[in-house]
Amino acid sequence: MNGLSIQIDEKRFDGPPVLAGIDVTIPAGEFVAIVGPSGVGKTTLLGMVAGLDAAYAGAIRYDGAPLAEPGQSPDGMGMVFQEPRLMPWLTIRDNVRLAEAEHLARDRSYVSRADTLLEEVGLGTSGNAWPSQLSGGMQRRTALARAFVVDPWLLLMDEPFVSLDMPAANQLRGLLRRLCARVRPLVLFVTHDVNEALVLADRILFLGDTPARVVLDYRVEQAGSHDVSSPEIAALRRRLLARHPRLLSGAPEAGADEISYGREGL
Amino acid sequence: MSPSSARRDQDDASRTIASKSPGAAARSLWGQLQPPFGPAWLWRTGSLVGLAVVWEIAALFANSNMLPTPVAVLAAVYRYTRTGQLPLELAITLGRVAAAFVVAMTVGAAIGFVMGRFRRFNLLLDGALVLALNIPALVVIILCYLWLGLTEVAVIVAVALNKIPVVVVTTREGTRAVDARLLAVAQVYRVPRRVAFFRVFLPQLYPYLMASARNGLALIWKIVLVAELLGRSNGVGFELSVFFQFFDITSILAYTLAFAAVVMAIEAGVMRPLEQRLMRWRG
Repeated sequence: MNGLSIQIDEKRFDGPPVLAGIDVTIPAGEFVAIVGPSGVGKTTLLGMVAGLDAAYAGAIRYDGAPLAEPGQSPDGMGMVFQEPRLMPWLTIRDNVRLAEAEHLARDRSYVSRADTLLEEVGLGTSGNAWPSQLSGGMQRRTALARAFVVDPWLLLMDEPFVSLDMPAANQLRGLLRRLCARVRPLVLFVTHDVNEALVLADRILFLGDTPARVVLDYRVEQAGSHDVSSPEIAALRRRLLARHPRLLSGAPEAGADEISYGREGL
Repeated sequence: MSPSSARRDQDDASRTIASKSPGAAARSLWGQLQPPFGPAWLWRTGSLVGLAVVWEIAALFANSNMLPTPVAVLAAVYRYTRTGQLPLELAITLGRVAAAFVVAMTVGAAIGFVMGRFRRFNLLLDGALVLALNIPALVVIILCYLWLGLTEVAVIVAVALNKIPVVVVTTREGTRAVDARLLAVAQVYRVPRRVAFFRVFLPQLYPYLMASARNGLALIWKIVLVAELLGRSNGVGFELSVFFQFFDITSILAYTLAFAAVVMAIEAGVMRPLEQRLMRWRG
């Protein structure tokens, strides 16, 4: 089986299963958005792929082999969290270099690309600043630089632009698209915003139901617009919802009022 | 809303609260307590000069060898420094302070880390910790002299034992407050253990370690003097016991003043710059 295969038979915390019966395969280089209501288990799923959570029944493989050694994260992976998660005591440059630490330890001749990446995300002059001196948007750019500094083949993103204002989020989405076009990683992008998923992704996995499963595996038609509030994206979204009217109410049998869609109020 | 989402929301809320480090609040409060005019150093020296003036006047009125004047005490400091006796005794005592400090910080931080990190160790050692916090310093010193003899090792062990429980408590708190979200960053980027320890984990403990180092210095040098008085034949504490037998209050105050000055110099010249360097990112 080629590509990333995520097969989760069951995942539970202390209680009933949260995720069950998930079985998807994603070819290399594909940009996949994972969409679902908050609390459905999107972040949990990402944590399992990242190797942060090994307590589940199932297997995550790449080209048939386990994605990572037990208790470890996959080699060559980048990850961007909901918050920038920069080390406040490291300069912006050192924060990016932290992702290179393994390369630096393994290969003495490795030359840090931190400054190149900072240049690329528009922070070329901020390398010596502390994270506390940067705006929220700039901190997120740093987090992107950190994720891309090792040329990841696998990139996990957990609602990375969620608390930004619209123009800043649009800018960062553009930056992300440019970086992805160069590096071509396989991306798992968690979001609860369908428009964002339509703008960025080749394919959308809608999670829903209890326990959560993939209720729709949707291939995105290219809308020709990269603006989340453009008419093209709105049309795309209308078509999607016309074909799958109960999609955003979570499970086909669940009442819509049980599910919260955050600020969008979908 | 499903049970898992409720739990997540709760987690998020508690994380937000925990993410503020304790020093930040203290610092802003300190900022409000700055004197209303004039540079801070002026107020610092001013208060010391004022204290000396009050002392001088009180001593002149008392006119007794029970309360020598500051000038007489400074003269004694000068005299003992000329003979070389004071610097020698100071050096001996400071050596003991340094040894006990290093032992207490190392052992205390290690135990505190283990107790903060592993619940079972905490349950196992917590009773002993509470006990240790409540044993009087004097008892520990006497027992160490009885068990280990009137030796250098006994002094250092006794003083370190007095300080270790305090370091344990502070380090344990610090370890519990470590932000798991930042550790997750180290994990997903496969940061080698040694690098992760020094660049991701340890910096989160700095405020706690610095607090216990500064308190530790203040506590240790006081206890060292007691230990010297009880069982050594040199050092500042021993000299004080001799002066005590001769009712030589001027010399007692001279030694005290000199020693306190040295400790304050270490605080200002080493501890504070070190803390500023470790915390400079707070900006």
